[in-house]
Amino acid sequence: MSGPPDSPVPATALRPASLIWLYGLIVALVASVGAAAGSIFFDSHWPLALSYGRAVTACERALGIAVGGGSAGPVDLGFLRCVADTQRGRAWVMTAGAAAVLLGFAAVVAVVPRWDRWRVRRYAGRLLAPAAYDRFAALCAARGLTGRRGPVLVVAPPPVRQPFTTGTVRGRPVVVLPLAVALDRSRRFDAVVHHELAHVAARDVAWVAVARGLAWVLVPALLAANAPTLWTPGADLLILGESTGRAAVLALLAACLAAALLRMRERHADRVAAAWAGAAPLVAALGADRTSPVGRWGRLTSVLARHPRPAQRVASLRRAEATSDGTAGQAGAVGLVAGLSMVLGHQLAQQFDATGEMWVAPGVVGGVLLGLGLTPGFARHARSARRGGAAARWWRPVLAAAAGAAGGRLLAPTAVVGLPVPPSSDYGLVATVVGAVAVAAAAATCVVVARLVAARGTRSGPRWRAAMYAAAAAVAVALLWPVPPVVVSLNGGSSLRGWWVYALPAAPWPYLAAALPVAAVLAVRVRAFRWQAAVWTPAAVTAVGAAAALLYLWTHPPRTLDGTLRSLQVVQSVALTVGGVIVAAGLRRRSAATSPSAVLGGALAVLGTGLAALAYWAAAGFAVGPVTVRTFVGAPLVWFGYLAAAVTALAVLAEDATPRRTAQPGAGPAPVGAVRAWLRAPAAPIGAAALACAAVTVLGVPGGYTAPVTAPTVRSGPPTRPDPTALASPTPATAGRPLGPAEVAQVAALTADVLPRYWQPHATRTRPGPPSRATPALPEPPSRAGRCAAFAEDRALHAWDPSQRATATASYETRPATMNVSRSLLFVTVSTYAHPVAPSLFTAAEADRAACPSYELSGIRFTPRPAAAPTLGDQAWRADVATLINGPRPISGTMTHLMVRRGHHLVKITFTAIMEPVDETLLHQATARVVAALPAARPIRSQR
Amino acid sequence: MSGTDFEAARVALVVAGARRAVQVLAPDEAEVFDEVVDRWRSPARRRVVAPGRAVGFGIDALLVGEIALQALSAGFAEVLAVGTVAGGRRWWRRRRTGAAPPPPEDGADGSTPPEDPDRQLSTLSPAVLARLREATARHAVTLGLPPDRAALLADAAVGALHCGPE
Repeated sequence: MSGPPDSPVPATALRPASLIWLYGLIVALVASVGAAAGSIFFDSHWPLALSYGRAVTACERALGIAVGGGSAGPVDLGFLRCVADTQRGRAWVMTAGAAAVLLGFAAVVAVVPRWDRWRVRRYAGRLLAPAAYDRFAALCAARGLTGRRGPVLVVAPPPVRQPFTTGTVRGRPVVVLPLAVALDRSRRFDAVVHHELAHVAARDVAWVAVARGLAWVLVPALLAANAPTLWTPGADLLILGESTGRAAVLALLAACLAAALLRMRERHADRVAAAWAGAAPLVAALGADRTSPVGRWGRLTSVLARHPRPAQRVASLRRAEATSDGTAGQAGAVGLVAGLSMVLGHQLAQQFDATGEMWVAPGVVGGVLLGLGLTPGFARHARSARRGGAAARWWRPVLAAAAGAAGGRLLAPTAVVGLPVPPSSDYGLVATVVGAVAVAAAAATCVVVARLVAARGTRSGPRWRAAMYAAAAAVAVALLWPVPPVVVSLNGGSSLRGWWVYALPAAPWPYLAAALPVAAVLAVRVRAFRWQAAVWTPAAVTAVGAAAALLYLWTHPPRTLDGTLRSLQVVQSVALTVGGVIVAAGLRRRSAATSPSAVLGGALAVLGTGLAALAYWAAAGFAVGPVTVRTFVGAPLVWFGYLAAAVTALAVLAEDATPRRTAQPGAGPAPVGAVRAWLRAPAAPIGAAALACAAVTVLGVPGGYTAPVTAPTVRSGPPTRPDPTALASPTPATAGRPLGPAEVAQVAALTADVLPRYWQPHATRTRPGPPSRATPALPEPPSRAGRCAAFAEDRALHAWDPSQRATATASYETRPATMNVSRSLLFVTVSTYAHPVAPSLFTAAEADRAACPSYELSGIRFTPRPAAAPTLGDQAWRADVATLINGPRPISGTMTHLMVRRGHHLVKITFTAIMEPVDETLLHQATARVVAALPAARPIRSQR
Repeated sequence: MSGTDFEAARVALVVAGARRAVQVLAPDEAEVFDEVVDRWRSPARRRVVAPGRAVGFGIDALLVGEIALQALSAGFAEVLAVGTVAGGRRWWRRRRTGAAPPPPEDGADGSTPPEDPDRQLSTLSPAVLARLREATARHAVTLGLPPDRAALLADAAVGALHCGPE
């Protein structure tokens, strides 16, 4: 099919492009926002958030990590295993959120077109402008749009003023023409109808229904997720505002994205209509000549417009090479969704199984979105540029993809966390930068593959193109996979070099990058490829590298494990160096740097050097197995892949910054010419390789040798507590006598011996007792009205104040955890008296407790209750008090009062546990430790 | 005369002029002209958002009747506004100089409507009619009609006002 003479659009433009990538983009966006909404709901819903916070705090205390916050804690393997069950619950809530929002989106997609059809139903039975129906049928038949694919015409009087097409996803489309168009006997009727039929042929109707549903779903989903916090009095408005702001910006960006994609489809429909019936009637129908200039606000609102301005549409029609594919806008949109999806994919995978291969999830999500979302558009863009004889500018889409990914990562909806979480903005910033760099490299790889596809031209079939796009996606996965571990390493979670040397080559995902050289071999015409030149020069460089590696192995025979590892790392560095030299030589001639031939030559050099060293290793009598092969060959190849990707990204950005020859239509594939040019000076890379290899073998491994990283030891239980019975017993010199102020302080401070690491000392107060030596009077029985006051004020104890010789209080509290949802405090008071402490003290205290059912003080409700005392000292007494602060988020706790008397001494311990149970073991050990240090006056016996 | 009566008379004249323009320029639209007038007369119905936000052409296509109603209405508003400003100026000048008001005239600028609104509007001076024709044609072009058809529309509409509907 060819277009009319005045149409600048070639016949190939008439083939409707696949919209699968658009659907994939939208689904990824909706699912990501749904998962984010689930996460927000989890954190906004107080019971869920509280249980999560408790579990995190308990694991941090048990493992003694991340106390006080910090980014290294959450990546500790033991911590991740400890919180795995809790995280899995959160992951299921996120999954449910994603499923719910996707279902809601599907419902909107199904309802919106039906709503449109319902609104035009009143016009369907009315026959206005009968001649229009005949002409419409003729045009449909001419374009092959008959039968089930054939659209139905409805002519509508005012207020319908715009022609449009609507229809359900699987139903017949309905073209609605305003009466003004239907009555128009000029060529405008044909132009308008052709435009609408182009939409029908490209299956835009269903796509538009999908795009329109975005705004209807995303904002309500995020608002619903925030609802628990919105309805909570006293919510943190700052955090709420940040979350709402991010959601609003994300929704606005999604609306802009949908509008941009809709405008892209409009331009495509214009081009197809122009190819069918000529551009002149369409230009006349657009009326661009009487369009008023666009003001400042017009430019702002145009980003949300569903149609380009008429002048832009006309300009697009007049440029044969103009295409909306592969532009910076499309790349930015893909990057934005990829960045957002990578964040949510990482969160989801991490919470489902934080200890497994969860790091690959963001790489797979981002790689597939970038590879399949960018490469086909880039290929069409490259083809269009070649057709028009213009050089495509690639730095814009590459940078736009990186910027979009950074924006998507930063705008990922955050939870309205009701828990005090320490800020981790630096962690997010590092992740954003590293992710953007990786996305830029992936986008540049897509450019390389797209150029290969465009260079092959019309000789490529759809399956071949699909294979190339899949190769681009595979390489993108390999490039994006290392982002989380690199970020963790840069934040101090592990050794970056250790990960680079040992963990990276052991993972299977980097080997996906091998798809790029395979694609290059498939893309370049075998007959045009100069095998001799492409193979022999890398072979010369390989010979230099292999000689250097063998020389090192010969002069440094491995005798110890350390020496063996050092030799292996030198061989790996030499192999990488020869590959890097070849790629760098390609970078010297800019276009060659992006050519797959340079990458292929470098890979061959790395492979040759590694195999030569492996052969020597085997000949020297060392064992050769899969691990050895991976060490000699796999690791340098993996490193080379990342090096080549980084160099390719830089070259793609750099080559547009300098003038170059314009590509001529019909010219041979660029790689062949590039290799030919590169081979004109083969001595340069060989000399550079020799120098670099000599530097590595003589001076050592760049960055220094690294030993294997030992796996972190995972402690499954809490830190060992000292056995109180094994601690020092009281000195005989102090037995049976009152202690001095310094001695009571020393005894009180002994509590620290039994406290785990998550406790920290608060203060120790010591004061001498009053000078009185009088026998204390028994406390007065409390009156009924003052019974709770007596209990609350410890009047039974204060009655003994006159005979007190010295007292000391040591206080402790739990260290702040990452999520401060629970806290405990411990006060240990040791008092010594002039007389042995009488049992009547506990009798009075118990009477005070029994007389007090509950009381309220400073908004806190106290409810005392009896509790079993431990068998310690001469006598012990205990009472527990349940505390409760009512509010939107009630805060409950327990205060345990424990008193033990021993001779002249009294130990009073108050253990306050807020939003967690009292640690009975710790309470017992602390009491036992202090009591054991007191001199006894009589044999121990137990009493309530 | 109340403002409501005057407005009713103006609307009647605009509809009459637009009907004449449709008869001349687009007789095919005559079938739906009354619907168009009903919608144009009712502010509530005018606010109804039409469907068409799906895959559309992006350019509004107006019926000649809609253009005629809007252009003629806008032309009337423009002419009356000019007349009101001129009348205000005269009133201010008289107030400052203390001069007596002039005797009632033919409403050369449309600023002093006589008692009978139909009479006042149907007996517009040639100068006012010329100004109305020019304004109507200009608004019709703005609304998307080619200049030659806009001139034809203005001639038909203003001619109907001058001669009365057929």
